[in-house]
Amino acid sequence: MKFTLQEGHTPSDINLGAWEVALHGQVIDDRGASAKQEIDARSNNSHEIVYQANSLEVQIDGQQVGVDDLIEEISSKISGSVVLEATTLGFVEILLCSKALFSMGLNKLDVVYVEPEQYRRPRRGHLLHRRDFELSDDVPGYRAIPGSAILLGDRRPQRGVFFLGYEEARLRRAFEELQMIRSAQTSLVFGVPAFKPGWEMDSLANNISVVREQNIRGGIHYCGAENPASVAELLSELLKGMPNEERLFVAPIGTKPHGVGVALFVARNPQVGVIYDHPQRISGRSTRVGRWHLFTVEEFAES
Amino acid sequence: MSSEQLQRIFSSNRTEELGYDVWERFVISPTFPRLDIGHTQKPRVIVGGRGCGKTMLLRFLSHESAFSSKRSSTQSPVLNHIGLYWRADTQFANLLERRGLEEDTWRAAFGHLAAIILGAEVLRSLRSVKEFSCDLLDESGLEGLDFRRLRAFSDALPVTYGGLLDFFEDSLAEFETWANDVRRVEQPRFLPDSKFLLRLIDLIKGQLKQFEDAVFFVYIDEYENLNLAQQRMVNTWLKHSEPPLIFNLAMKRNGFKTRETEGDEALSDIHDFRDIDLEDFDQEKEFTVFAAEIFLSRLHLAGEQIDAIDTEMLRDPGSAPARSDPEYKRGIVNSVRMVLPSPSNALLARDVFTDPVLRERLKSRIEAALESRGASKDLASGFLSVDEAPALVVLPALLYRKRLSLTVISEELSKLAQGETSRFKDWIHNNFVGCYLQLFDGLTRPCPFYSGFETFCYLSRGNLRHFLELCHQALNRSKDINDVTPDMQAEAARQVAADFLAEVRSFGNRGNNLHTFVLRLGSLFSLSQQRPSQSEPERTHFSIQEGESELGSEVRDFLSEAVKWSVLFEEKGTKKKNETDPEGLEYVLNPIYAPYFHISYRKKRKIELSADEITSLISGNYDQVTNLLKEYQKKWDVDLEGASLPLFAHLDESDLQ
Repeated sequence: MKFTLQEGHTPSDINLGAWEVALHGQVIDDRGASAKQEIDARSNNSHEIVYQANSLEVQIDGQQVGVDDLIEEISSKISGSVVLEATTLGFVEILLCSKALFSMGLNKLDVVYVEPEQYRRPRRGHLLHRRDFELSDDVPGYRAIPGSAILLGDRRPQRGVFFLGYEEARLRRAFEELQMIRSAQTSLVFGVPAFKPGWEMDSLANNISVVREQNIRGGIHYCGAENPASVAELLSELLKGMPNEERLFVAPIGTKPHGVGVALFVARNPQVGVIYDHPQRISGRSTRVGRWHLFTVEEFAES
Repeated sequence: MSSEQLQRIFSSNRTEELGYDVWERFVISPTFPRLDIGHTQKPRVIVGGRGCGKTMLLRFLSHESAFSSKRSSTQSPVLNHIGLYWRADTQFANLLERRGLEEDTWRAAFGHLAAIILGAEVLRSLRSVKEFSCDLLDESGLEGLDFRRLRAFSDALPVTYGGLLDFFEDSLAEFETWANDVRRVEQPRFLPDSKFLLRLIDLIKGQLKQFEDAVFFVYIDEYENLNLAQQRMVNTWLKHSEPPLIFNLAMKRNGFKTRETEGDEALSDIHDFRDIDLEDFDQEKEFTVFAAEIFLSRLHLAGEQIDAIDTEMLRDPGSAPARSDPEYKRGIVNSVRMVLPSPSNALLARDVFTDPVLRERLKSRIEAALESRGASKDLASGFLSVDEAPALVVLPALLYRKRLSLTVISEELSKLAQGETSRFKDWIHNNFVGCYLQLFDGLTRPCPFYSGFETFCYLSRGNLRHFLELCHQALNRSKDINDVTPDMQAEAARQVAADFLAEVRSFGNRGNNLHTFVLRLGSLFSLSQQRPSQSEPERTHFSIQEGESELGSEVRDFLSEAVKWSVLFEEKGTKKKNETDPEGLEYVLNPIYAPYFHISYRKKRKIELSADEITSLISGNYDQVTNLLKEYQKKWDVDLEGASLPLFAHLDESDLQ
């Protein structure tokens, strides 16, 4: 699998090209709207894909489809070149689409991602803010994704790799709910360099308490926050170095480009499990439109 | 002991880190006898909050600890209790529903999963027995087992011990593959859960005479995370439990999503199981001693010479009488007090006068209180000349109480100074903690009120994880085990409170809102703590004025969730102000958060909230909550100006004054 990465401040800064089919998710913020508009203008067909963790179903253009039927459904809609619009697609949708495209033998695909100009980041320090006293949405929690589920067990040798963002509660909850995860066999990956200088400190500072509490000691790695290629490379290296009896699982709870890297890697390596907590994507969470990215993947379905 | 060793003693508080054999690390708790191990064959439902030691207990009861090679041969285990531990992977179990398959198929699939996991555990337990004692079982006995008759369930089942164990392990991988892709992968031949296990056990008993009376106890951990259909199946197994296979559950409080079974009859706690709450012990008489034993056993494991305890005794259920001896209890509690000293109220008060900042704060408060009643602030120096430190600490609160005249207060203070009977005795008793905490409001330094072994026990409220973390953080701050000062302990308590508060966000689907709720409720208690007159000091719990029946179902569900995660403790109401008030429940904020909110950890007085008020705290928007705080601020006459507590920093963003 080969990656070509492009980035720019506007779509005209990068060579986006055109596609036959675009797969996108729901628009919930400014950058999603911009991304979808750009992709729609450059595609002959586009389809909206939304995964529903509670019912284990997928909505394709508003129609309910069982997650086990997704490969057939997507196959019937694909002909020619494909782009995944990763700003609006969630991690699970990207994973399911990648698996479907891999099973179709698609060798080349594009992934578009637009950064936010600014995130509502949690602030560090002891002072509480109005936001701490406001209500937020429920988080469904860790639920397996059909096709990439791994049965965790106290007696099964397993190694976990967590791609982290700044929400330490997501890592903590994994250890809280899935206590068979072994601290000694858990590696952490931080997005360094971060989207913006200084953001990596939020991620490190917020997660360090969980690292200490759970005595996580399986190693720390760094992949550029916007670099899916380095994610795939890292996972490939880790997988190669593992004993045969040990299973690898990944938890992509960090940046979207990390999620893209994980999804593409897992699509090619179905023996790798995924654990994921399905956070609700909050409308208006980010404001304005940041940098544009195009990740071109070649030799995807080739071994 | 080096400071590095000191820091490691309490750092490993996660049972999962200890492996399956926890024999050496287990300390039998005061609630252990209620399990009645070896005497009753009734299923047990073990309840307790996170960190109370459920997993540790279950692993202690399971075969790897019961037949531990570290166990001395004089404490011979018995075969009428062979524990099998099972913690279902609930994120995976979520796959086992819907997806175009019939409910019956998913039920059978979950039953199959139980059969292969527990089947393997039954076989592993035989190896544990063999490794513990060749007299009980030797290699030839194990390898000679013939499971041919299991083929009635599936021709694929191997007949030997090793072959069958491998089969179970391979079946897990086969099952995982099928569950991932139910459309394209052939469905495995499902084994019928308890029916299969009973047959497996029967075959073992038939071939190994020494296992004739063996009873296998399955302990299902984290039952609360199973989905409705899975709980119904497990309930059915529990309801129909009988020797040689008894199903037991461990869960957080309010962990039953349903008590229904697959049949017509639901679970009934009196008839079907014995309910054991692991945190239901007397805080002062039982938990303090238990915590001291754990503290000392950790030191012993780290290589310290500890004469006060005998670690073998701590693991021996028969040693209960010796461990309840008053002299023994006094001895071990005193040993820990030496490491975690706690200053008395008199000492805390004396230190106020040797500390220039605190002394000045007290003086200012006395002057402000005098001025608030129209008296001259110059009178303060007269009061401060009296050598009764604890009385002077509570003096500002008394001066704010207009119904007490200055003359009465002065007279009572004189009586106290002359050793006569004085009302100050009661005033100090009731108000010292609240007034002392007020002196630290807004200071960045730790408050020594949160120090001391007994204080750590109160803050933990029966929760071992909390207790051990407090000890860990306190010892972490010292280079010498004999020099863990009250300030180090208080700093540790504040750190631990902040850390555990941050954890609330990860408490299930509603973790974010539970966290917000704790901040809102803690703010209200903190506001009450700042009441100048301290006429209702140390408020750390609440009740519902109209009774729980007036609450909406969403609020009741939320409170139940808060209790499940031990954010709140639910207790039967004790004090009714009027006889006509409805009997109700009281909700106590987990005291581990007290140092964060700078409030008392003791359960003293409550706030009666209306149904509307508690609804606001749980689901109101920001403006509703600030309005609620504003009303109480006015009612309690609290001046937040200059309150530099981090807790109230956000109020600058609103118009709350």
